[in-house]
Amino acid sequence: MPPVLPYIPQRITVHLGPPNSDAENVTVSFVDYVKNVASSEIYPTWEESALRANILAIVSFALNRVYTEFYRSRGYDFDITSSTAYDQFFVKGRSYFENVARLAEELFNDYLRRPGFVEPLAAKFCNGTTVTCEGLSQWGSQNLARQGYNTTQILRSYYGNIEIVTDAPVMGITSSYPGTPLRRGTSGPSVVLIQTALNRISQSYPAIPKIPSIDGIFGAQTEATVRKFQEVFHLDADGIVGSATWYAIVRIYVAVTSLAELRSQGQQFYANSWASRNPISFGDRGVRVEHLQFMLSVLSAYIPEIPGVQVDGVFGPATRNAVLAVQQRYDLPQTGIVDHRTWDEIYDQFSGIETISWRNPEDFPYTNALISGMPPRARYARSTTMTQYPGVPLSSGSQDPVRQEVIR
Amino acid sequence: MSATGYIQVNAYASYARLPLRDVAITITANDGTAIAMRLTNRSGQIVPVEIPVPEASDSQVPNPPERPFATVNLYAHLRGYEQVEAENLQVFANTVTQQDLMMIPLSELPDSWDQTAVYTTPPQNL
Repeated sequence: MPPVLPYIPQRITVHLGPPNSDAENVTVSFVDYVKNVASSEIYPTWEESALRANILAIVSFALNRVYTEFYRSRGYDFDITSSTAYDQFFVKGRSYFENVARLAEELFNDYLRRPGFVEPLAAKFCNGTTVTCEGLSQWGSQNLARQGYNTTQILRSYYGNIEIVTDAPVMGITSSYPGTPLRRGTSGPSVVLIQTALNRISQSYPAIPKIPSIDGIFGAQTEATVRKFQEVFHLDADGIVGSATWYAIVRIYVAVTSLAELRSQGQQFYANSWASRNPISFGDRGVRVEHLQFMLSVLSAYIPEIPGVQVDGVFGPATRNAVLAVQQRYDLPQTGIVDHRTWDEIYDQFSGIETISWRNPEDFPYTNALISGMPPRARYARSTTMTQYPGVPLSSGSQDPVRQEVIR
Repeated sequence: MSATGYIQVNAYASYARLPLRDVAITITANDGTAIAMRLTNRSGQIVPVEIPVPEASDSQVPNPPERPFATVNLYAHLRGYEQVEAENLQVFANTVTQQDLMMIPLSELPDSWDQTAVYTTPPQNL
């Protein structure tokens, strides 16, 4: 069997204490995790080559924990801890530094490995003054950088013979970076994708100007939109879609459309009763479980302490973990069973999200304008992937004309 | 404190980063003195706040005589959302400190309306 290549997870679950402690878990996007750890571990005023070396070590270490399932294979429900005695320093909710964050956006899918090995290097590090170790010295890396060492030289001086893997595949991102930057004058399908994504993002971010024509040509208007996107998301505002900008655009586009899909998915439950009934617990199946999982999915999109679940109608370990997380967050007895109190708490929180966040038409627009100019096949594909109104009115007894056109 | 650092915020809801406008941001010194008050714009951001901080050279060597960064506190409030208190934000010379505020919508029950999330940044280990 060929080796399974490492991928970059969309999100990572961090246990906020030593492995066996009764601490809570938080789930954050992988790139936000890297920003957080790097801002907690090193100073932003250091030389750039030192910052890069440290960030690559941080990424590699975290990916090693994910790839080897270091904790999950031991029965834990998290990927890594925040404890420096075991892993890397992570601080829930902390701020980060803009220059460090830019480097994290650039390096989050690069990592270190030994030649001939597949897994990311478990790249240990320590501060090098009060604590020493066999891996990278943080202060030592800064000293080497001040002596003129580049990032690779710094890393090799601590880890020996290593290679740097770049642009590793990212989980949940269906469109990988095309390999070369998109800039003024570029044309093709990658430009269409970026234009479509930017226009959808601009619905929520009106400061980002819409591109009037999704034509696949990277012209002055696309460049202006890219530049504004970069400003808003604190990237280098050069108007060029390099790797960091590409992944930032696609990541936000996927998140925005996924949330819109989830919101649409909820419509199937509006005919059901939302009142609590008999308790639901591990092993249960059916529509009631699906309904619960839908509400938990919504909560997990808004609350980092609540892990995501599949809406599959089966009350398995992931659903139980999400229920336990709700019970921990809202001070309910941690039973993993959805009794009246737990159901009502989940419903109340869901209801708050629905009332306060989901009624903003800018964030959840109909996509008619977006898809109306596309050919039928593309329009149908786009409308179904977004789970949105297909652009043509349907009434009782009629067939979907767009779909029929596509099938013919 | 002869150098300058900056604070910016990104206020949003959910992993989709839906921006939140008109979030009231208050930044205070550790003694509680107000340094600045701002409202977020339609991108969920503010006009950056300048903070006096130690020189960048102080963070280039281990164990400097003075702590090489300034710390401030930040409070965020928007009706309908959990309030946020972020304590001990670290601000370095010539650097923008970004505070993400992933604000959580509250249930409609009145007993949740003053719910507050508190995030504290511990001292650096370097």
